[in-house]
Amino acid sequence: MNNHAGDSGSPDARPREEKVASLDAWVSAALPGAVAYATSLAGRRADGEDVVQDCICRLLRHADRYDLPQDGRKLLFRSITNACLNLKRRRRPPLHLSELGRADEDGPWEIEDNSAPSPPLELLTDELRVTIAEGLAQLPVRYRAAIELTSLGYKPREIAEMLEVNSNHVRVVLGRARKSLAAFLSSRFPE
Amino acid sequence: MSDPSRFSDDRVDALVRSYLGDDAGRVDLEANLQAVQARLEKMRSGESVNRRRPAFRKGVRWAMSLAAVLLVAGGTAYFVLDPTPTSAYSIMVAASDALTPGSDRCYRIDIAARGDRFKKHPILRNIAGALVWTRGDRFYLDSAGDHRKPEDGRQFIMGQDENHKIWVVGSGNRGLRYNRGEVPPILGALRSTLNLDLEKLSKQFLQHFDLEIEAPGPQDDPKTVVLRATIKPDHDPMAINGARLTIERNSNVIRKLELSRTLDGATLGTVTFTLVGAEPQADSSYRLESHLPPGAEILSHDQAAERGKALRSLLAQ
Repeated sequence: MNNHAGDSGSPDARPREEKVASLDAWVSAALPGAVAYATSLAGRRADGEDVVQDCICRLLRHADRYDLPQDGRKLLFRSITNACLNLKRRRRPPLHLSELGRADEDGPWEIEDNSAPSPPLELLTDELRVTIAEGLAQLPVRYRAAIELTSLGYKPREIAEMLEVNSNHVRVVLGRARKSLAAFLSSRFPE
Repeated sequence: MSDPSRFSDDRVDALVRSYLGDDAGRVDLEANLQAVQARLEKMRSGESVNRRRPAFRKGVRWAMSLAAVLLVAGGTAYFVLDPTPTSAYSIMVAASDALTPGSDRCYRIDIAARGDRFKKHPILRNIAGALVWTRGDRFYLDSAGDHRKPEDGRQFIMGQDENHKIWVVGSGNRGLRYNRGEVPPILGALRSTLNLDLEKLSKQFLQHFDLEIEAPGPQDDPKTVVLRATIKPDHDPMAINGARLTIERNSNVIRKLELSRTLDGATLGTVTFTLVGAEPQADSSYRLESHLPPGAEILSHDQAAERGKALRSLLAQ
């Protein structure tokens, strides 16, 4: 996170009330999505909320170093990812790097074109929602992080920073996560 | 047969995004804002954070929503918009944050004893004005270090290593080492006096002491602020019942710490630590061996009787 400390540039000279309102709006806007992501990674709502509350407080405490309304979402998701990975590490044996596979064994992997429009959101039925949750839950936490962060618009390079692996690994993990989730969904919803 | 190709990468991504968006809509925003505010308040006061979500009735959530937003705004304003701490607690939190765990610090020690409880020990007279190096709960003192001449000409060297073993350099360059549970009372009292674990102590100030900013006097350096810490009323007696901390405003570095020490509820005296250096020290400097000539004898648990004799001899000099 310190890498971003200098990104915010010179100290913000906006009036106090404006800064407070801006930060407050940022917290309110970022929190629900962050909790949903953290819950999915942590596996439990209570843990997800705990992680997010902690990460938000830490960011707010050092808010003078960052432009949170501008950069905060990325910093927050990075913090959440780290916290959830640590949470998982404490609960069970760590995922060995070899589980991520070699970068070139499943390739070639496409570089995402972020200028392309995102596919439209689907209206989820309860059954589909529960099935996606089950499908995500059966993925290793790093796979889950990769596919969820990608769906939220993060680039492989950014995800690689969060997971502390290289971009090629992210593409491998993402490919496997998509394939695994697609297989799971198609097994639950046969034509 | 199921066909995974029905779920293209784009569709899988879209489904995951829809799932996360749907779940985000189920998050109880007000409860979480309330919890964030509670955490900010606790961080501000230095308490450990209770990781439970506050419970409240659904019927009052709408009202708490507005309150929570306003409270969070207040909390964020506190941390964000006032980079220069203004309350005693925020100054103490900033000073605690500024401490780098595991770093070496050197302090000059001054002792102002009430009555003669300190004065009856020649060793304590001898260490007054000496320099003590600390790293976490490790420390070492050499009363003749830094070209200093002890008051009565006797050199006294003592420390605590990374295994919490107390050691002393005895007469004839023999080393005396003590495990936990076998430290003689006089050395225990010295350890208590010399050991300045600031990381631990600063947390104790935040948790167990009332803090206030002392009004600056004409002689005070305007670049520093002085905090007075007084043990909370009705708190169980502690080895320190009060303190006066001189903290640099810009760096939040604790320059001077005056500790009021107690024994059996009575004030023993004031021990003042003044920061004089922070150069990194070798790990070995906190060990007995580095203060002895090569091959010197070290008396430990197995030579308890001889070790006791050597300590009595040292103290009787």
